Amino acid sequence: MTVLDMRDVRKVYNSGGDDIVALDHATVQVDHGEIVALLGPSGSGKTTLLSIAGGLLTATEGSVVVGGHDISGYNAKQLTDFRRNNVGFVFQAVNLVPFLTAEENLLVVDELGGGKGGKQSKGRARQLLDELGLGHRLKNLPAQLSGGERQRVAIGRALFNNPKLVLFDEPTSALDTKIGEQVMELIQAEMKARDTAAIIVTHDTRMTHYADRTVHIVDGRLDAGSVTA
Amino acid sequence: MSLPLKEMRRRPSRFIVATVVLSFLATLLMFLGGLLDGLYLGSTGAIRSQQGDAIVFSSSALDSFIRSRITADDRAAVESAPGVEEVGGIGFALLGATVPAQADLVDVAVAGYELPPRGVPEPPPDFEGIADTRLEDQGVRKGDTLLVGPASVPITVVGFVDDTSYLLQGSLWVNLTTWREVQNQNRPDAAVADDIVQALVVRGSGDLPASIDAATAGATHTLSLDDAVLAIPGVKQQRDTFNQIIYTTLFVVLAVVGLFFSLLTLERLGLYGVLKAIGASTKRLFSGVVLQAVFVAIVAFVIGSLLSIAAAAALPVEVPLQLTPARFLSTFIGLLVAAVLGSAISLRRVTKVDPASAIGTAS
Repeated sequence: MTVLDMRDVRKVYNSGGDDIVALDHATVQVDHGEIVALLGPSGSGKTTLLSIAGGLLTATEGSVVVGGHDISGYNAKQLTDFRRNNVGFVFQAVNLVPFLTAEENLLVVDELGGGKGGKQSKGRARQLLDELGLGHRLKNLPAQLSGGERQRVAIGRALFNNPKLVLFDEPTSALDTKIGEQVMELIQAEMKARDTAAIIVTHDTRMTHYADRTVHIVDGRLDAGSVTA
Repeated sequence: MSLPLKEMRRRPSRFIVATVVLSFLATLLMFLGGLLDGLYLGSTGAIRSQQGDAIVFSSSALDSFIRSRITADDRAAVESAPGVEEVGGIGFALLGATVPAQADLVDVAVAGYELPPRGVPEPPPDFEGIADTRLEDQGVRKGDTLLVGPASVPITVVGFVDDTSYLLQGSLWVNLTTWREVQNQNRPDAAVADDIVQALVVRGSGDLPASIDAATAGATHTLSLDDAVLAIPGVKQQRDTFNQIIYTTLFVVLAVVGLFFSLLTLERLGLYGVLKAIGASTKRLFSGVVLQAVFVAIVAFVIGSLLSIAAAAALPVEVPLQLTPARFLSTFIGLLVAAVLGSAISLRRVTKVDPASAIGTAS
């Protein structure tokens, strides 16, 4: 079943009176539990595609349906609610809240949704971190964690709300090869275990074998293999 | 505990500078307010305590008790004015007095009266007086006989009353005969006849100033009690001056909060981008900034209150610093409003944070 369905999506920026096409009639679909690697050079539009898929940007043209929600016409507030409840993000620079412990960084998602970090939420955060091999690091601040551990906390945060789609923005770029591979193995295992769809933006071809499918993007255009049957 | 409060608990050093600066400003606000209140209350107690509705001065006195003289004919006209129910004469003599067993003179405002002010009994017998507690603070005790003025008119203190001082001098409430004696013996150049008083305290209803001044054909100038308080020399000027300084200080509080939280917001733009990306609304992020500003203001208020209370205890009694619950409340409200408005300066910056900034440079 399709989790992400982007059809004929264009994104045009206006710069100094000139239109710059960042995404040109992109069509891509991602199914439940499917991991798609998005590969392309700098400036090819992969970040734009990821941002539109996650409701961070709105498309100039085309339709974007995520988990059954057609977000093409959503306003900023609707997109905020949508992101909070339906999408998980793992950013390139990790970006954990520096003054919160590993456990609290997961509970932030609950707090943003109006939760009070109650017993149930704490239980879920602990369970997630335990699954990610961080059961002994619950009370550590990000500064007390290694790069790989921080990235695993970020993965836990992305998974906290049981999203249908998780978007990874170059999740291994700040890690050495060995740790990067461990993180990719973890991502693969977690996505498959939860039957969660994922798009992983990367420029590292060594990491693409963890994905079910690789989509290439050049100058805002996706290659022909991006549409699944 | 919410995210903003957790940040304050885990990273207190980030908020120390703002808290220290605001604490000093809060102390300054309460100190200035306390001085204003002390000056105002110390200058006006004798008039504020009057249980009347209007004060009648002679028209040429420019609303000054010292210059005013009300004749028996004017008094009769006032008593016949529509709305007037009760009339009492009043007069003040500002002099120095010798207190037994004290080398220094104390300043007293000998106040002759007919209608008792709040807390003051019916006029006592000749040469007895009820003293304001300000005189008690200066060593006057019940039973002491004060020798008033260069003529050393003896007045025996038979009791005390609170908050009735006049022009920062402790009042000594006496009957009109004693007041005239004090005035005439010490100020022969400004002697008053037996039927003369400086002013009248009037109880009644309706538009008393208009009806009284009409009844005396312009021989009098009548003020409401509130206006008479503000007509005391220097009171309005003091109040306006101090209020200007207090408002300016509040503006500085606003500027400090605004600047501090603007810088803090600037530092947090990246974090705000991430939080917005994972579902934080602008409203939630901005309310976090406001919450932190309000918290800093509350801590500053508590520290400022303690410092100003300590200062009040350490200062000599002559310094007219009076910290009232109303002043604490108004300072607290002023600090909160300035904190909220100051933090609002960050709203535009928080609103402009693009959640897409968290993910590469797509925006």
